[in-house]
Amino acid sequence: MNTNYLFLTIFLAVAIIFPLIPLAIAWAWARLFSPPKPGHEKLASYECGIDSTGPAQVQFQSHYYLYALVFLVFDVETIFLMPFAAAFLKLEFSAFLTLMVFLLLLVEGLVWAWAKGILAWK
Amino acid sequence: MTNLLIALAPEAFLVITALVVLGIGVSAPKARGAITAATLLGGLVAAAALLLHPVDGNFLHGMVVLNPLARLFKLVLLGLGLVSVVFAAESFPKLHFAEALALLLFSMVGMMLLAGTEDLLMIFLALELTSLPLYILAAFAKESRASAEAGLKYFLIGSVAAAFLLYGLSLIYGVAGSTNLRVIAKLSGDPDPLLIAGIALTLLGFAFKIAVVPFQLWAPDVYEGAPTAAAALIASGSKVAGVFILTKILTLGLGHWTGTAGWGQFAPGWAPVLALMAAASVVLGNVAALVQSNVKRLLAYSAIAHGGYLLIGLCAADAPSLTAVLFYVIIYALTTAGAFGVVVIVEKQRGGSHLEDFEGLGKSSPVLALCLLVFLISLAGIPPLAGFFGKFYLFTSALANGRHLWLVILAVAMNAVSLYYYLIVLKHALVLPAPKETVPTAAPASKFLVVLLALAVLALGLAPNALIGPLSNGQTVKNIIINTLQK
Amino acid sequence: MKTSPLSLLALIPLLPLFAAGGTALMKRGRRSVAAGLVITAQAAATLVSLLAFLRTLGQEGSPHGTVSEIWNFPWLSLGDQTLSLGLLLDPLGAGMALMVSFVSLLIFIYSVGYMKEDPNFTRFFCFLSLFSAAMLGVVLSNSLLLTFICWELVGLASYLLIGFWFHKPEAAAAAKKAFLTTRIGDMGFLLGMLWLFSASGTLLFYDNGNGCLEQAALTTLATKTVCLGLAVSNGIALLIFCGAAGKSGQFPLHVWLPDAMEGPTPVSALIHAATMVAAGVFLVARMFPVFSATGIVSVALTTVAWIGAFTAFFAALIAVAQTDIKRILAYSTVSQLGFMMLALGVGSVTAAMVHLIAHAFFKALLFLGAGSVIHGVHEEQDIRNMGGLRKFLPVTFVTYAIGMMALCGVPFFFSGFWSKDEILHVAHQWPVSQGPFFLAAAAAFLTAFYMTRQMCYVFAGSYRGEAHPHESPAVMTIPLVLLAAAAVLMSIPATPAWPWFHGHYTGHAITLNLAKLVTHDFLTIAGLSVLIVATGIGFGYLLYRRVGKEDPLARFWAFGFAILARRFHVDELYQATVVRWLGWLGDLAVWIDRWIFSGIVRLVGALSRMASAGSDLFDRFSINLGFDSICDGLRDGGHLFSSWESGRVQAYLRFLGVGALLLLVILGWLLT
Repeated sequence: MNTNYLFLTIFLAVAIIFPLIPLAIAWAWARLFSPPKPGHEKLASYECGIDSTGPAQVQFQSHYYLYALVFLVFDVETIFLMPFAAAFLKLEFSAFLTLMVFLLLLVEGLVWAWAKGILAWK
Repeated sequence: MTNLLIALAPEAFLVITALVVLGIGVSAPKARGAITAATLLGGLVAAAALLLHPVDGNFLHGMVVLNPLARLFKLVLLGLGLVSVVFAAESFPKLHFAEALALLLFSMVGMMLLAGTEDLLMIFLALELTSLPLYILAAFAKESRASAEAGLKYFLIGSVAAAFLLYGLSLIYGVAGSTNLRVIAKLSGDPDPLLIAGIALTLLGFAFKIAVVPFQLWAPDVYEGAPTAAAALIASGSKVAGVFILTKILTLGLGHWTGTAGWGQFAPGWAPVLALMAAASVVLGNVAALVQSNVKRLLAYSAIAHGGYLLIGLCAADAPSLTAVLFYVIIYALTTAGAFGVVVIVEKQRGGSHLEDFEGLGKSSPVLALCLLVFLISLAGIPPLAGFFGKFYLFTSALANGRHLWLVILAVAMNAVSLYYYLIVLKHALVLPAPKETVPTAAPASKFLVVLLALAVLALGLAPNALIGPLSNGQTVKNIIINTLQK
Repeated sequence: MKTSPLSLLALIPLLPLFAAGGTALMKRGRRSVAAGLVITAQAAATLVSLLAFLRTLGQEGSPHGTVSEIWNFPWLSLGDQTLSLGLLLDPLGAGMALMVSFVSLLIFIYSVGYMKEDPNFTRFFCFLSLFSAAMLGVVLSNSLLLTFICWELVGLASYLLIGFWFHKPEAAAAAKKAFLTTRIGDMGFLLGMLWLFSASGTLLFYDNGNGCLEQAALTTLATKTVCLGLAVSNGIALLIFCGAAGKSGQFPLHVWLPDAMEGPTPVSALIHAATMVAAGVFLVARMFPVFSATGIVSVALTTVAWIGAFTAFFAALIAVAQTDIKRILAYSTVSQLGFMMLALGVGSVTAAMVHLIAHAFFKALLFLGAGSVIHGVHEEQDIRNMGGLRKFLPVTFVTYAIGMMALCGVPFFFSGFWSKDEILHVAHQWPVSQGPFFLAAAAAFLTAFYMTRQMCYVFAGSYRGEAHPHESPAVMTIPLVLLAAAAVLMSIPATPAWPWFHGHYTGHAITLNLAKLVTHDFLTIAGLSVLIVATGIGFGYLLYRRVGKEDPLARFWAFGFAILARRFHVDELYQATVVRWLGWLGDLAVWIDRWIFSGIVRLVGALSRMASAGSDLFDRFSINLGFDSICDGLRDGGHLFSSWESGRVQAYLRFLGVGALLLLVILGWLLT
């Protein structure tokens, strides 16, 4: 048992260190090797040569999250579809029916969302 | 396959009903009566499916397990859900009404699935299916800041608890190699540290569901802020489902590592942990309730305390105490649902659920006041109501062999303390005069259900064997116990 | 219980008893039902007594002698010993039972008319029936204990009846006096009974040889002696005689009888003429074997004779000077009872019983007649306000005259003559002394004298009162007629020529022998009797022929008359001595009760109060304060716990995390 956990410990340590190394390198590079940026023009954001107007912070429309939600649902549905598709030929008819029910449930969710006017941008 | 379909017929009907309701809600959002009717019809059809053509058996390697005990609990959960539907129909906000009922139905589906499973994965799935709609329902009252706050808190803490639970279940799976509780039960020998961690995290997750220390902090805010009909389902339905499935996991799956919690007889296992949680909940719930001025919050603390009582029964972990736990959780659910029903009606009349809003209830609606009396007195555990018998069986079975004397003494002492805050509510309702004249708003269906629940509590108090019989004769409780006793 | 036909004897006292019980439960208004029930029960009892009496007939001259059938039943078992009671059927008892039930029946019928206007009609009949039941029980009993029980019941019934109009203070006082005086006698009775039980081991009279009146027991009683050489039997007899003296009004316990006239007239007739007062005589007659255990002349019997004779004379003297119509009759009763006791004392049970039965009939007749007179003159009882009533109440007058003649002993056709003559006869033959004989003769003279006086005052002359006299209704006069007929007819079995009574009681053959009437013995005494009666009646008629409001005898001998009128001041004597001494005892008892007994009670009360005050202090300061502080602690705990619900989710999650960690640690520690 203990040897297994040793493996895990080493793995954990490597996993922690592994992303930290590029971060450290990036920080070191920014510190040591990046060119100086002394003035306003150098620090300005690129807008095809035109001066930027208005604040850079654009307020997020919060009901964008609704689209994100609906996207997420269908994205996960897609993930579920993939193994089904891969094993399609070996599965029997009842499996197909089950997945159709699953799809239909999600479609009804879409229908509901559509009818409720969630998909219309306000 | 067909057997599986028949076995899952009630849940399937409920899902179809939910979808139909959503459809009606989209096409005719103002037709609240039709929506409610459709919901109730669907519920009744599901009940019929449950009662008329029962199949027993073990499907999908323990994912769907049906036996008389499971069917009894499914029926109870269905009933509680439909009660909440009626309360919601008369008190919920008008906006998105169909969605509210659909969410209630989905939550009921989750609870019913919880009642009929022995597989860890299915447990988690059903648990989430129960909880997610309840999170949304807690936040349903859009005009109320408290409701939004309740929903958010419920969701945050619920998610953390779900994470704990999932991690714990997966650890257990990792050690046992299977998600089926019966296979897990075959583990023996010294416990793996991973297994220890898994059991601990599982207990934490369920502690959230049952609202016991140390995961009780969401309960007062959520019960107070959520719309009362939703709070009713949270208090009654999810508690029943949670206790039932926890019982199953602990005794069926983890029965080998029970341990004992007797004073001076500590044996390592999950029972001592449960005993500590129970003791803390009982004290905290009852004492904190003494100073509450909002009835819903008071009922939340009472829920914490009752969770503690239920855990005492689980500590004992032999057949009579498990029967007592299951009996008491059903009684408690009925009583709490009724109490929340009274709160629904009072809120409609007076616009709030503080103690002052209950004043003069005895004069304006004596029937309601009487029902409130029945519920609160049953919660306090006074004969001849059902709550007394529940507590009685719990404590006597916990006392058998004298192991948990300290726990029972603490519980009984705190129970005596609890009588105060129940009586305070009754004092406001029955004794104090109304501050001003109020026109009683009609909520006839809720009132009818409240009276029905009061009668049920009374009847179960007069004939507790009507419920205990099926619970203790059922082969299934024996099945649950066999593993414990054989070890 | 053995079931023999004799168990039906129990019906005789039980029927009136049940009637009394039934009437007690009735409402006041149900008069006819009450009267009907009581009279029916009494008639039935009379019928059964008749059957019982018939059963005892026809045994005279047979080898058995008298019939004596018993029916005993066990009553109380105390370990090995069993106390039995029983009923006895013999000539003595059967005759008495028939007489008592028949006379009672007639008086009950009479009462229907007499008590018609009284609001407590039902209660009256209840008490009457109770009395009848108890008296029949005394008469038929085969056990001294049962006799005593019924004896006391008779006393109770007489108390209730004398004090029937209890709102009258005189009646209440009279009832109390009667009860207390007879109680004094009953004390003696009780002591005698206890002594008998301890000396002979049984209280049954006849018990197949084991009874206390049977030879074996009598021998034991006669031979044992106590102090002063007094035989046990005589001691017991004297004590029992105390009880008899109380009930039968012998000197010195006679004082209650005249006052008992405060009761309604039917009561006086029933109780104080015919039955209850006869119970004393009956008791001595029943216990005669004990009285005569040491011989026909014994200390006990001698005492009885002297007291009887003295009482006869004494009471007759007092009767001469009385002015209340009923009081004269009361003293007359006392006097006649003295005669009966005299007869018993000189050894003749037969003479006493004959006189008793005859006296019952004619005294009841006289009392009922007096009642009729009182009713007729609208409740006037003073004879000085009556007069000339023979015109207004003819039936009453005739029957009353018959009764008076029977009482005086007018010869040949009236039973009183034969019975009194017999008594004088046996008194004359007493070997001990002739004193009782002379006293009895003098009493007979006085009897004739005062009865004539009464007749003249009431019926002769002209009416001196203010009311309008009228005859009584038939329901009252028919019993009078019946009793008058009985008074005459009773003379037939009493003559020595055909000594039916004698034979019936003693078992000797009864033969009709007119020759007996002309023996020297008989003629002497009979002649003396006739002389006495004639002198008495003549004297009385002479003095009172034309009597006015003032009594001629008072004019003649004022001093003596006054003493007689005041009844020899016996009541005043008792009041000054016995009553006052008892008053002192009562005061002493009150003092003891108030200071000693209630002192103890008050002490206990004070202690309890102190204890409760202490408990209250404890409760207020320890328990309440303790409880309050517990409640405060709980409330503070409540505030503390609810303060943890700060409302900030971050705090919640922090709490959650800490809790989870703790749980993990505990679980891990426990499991390893």
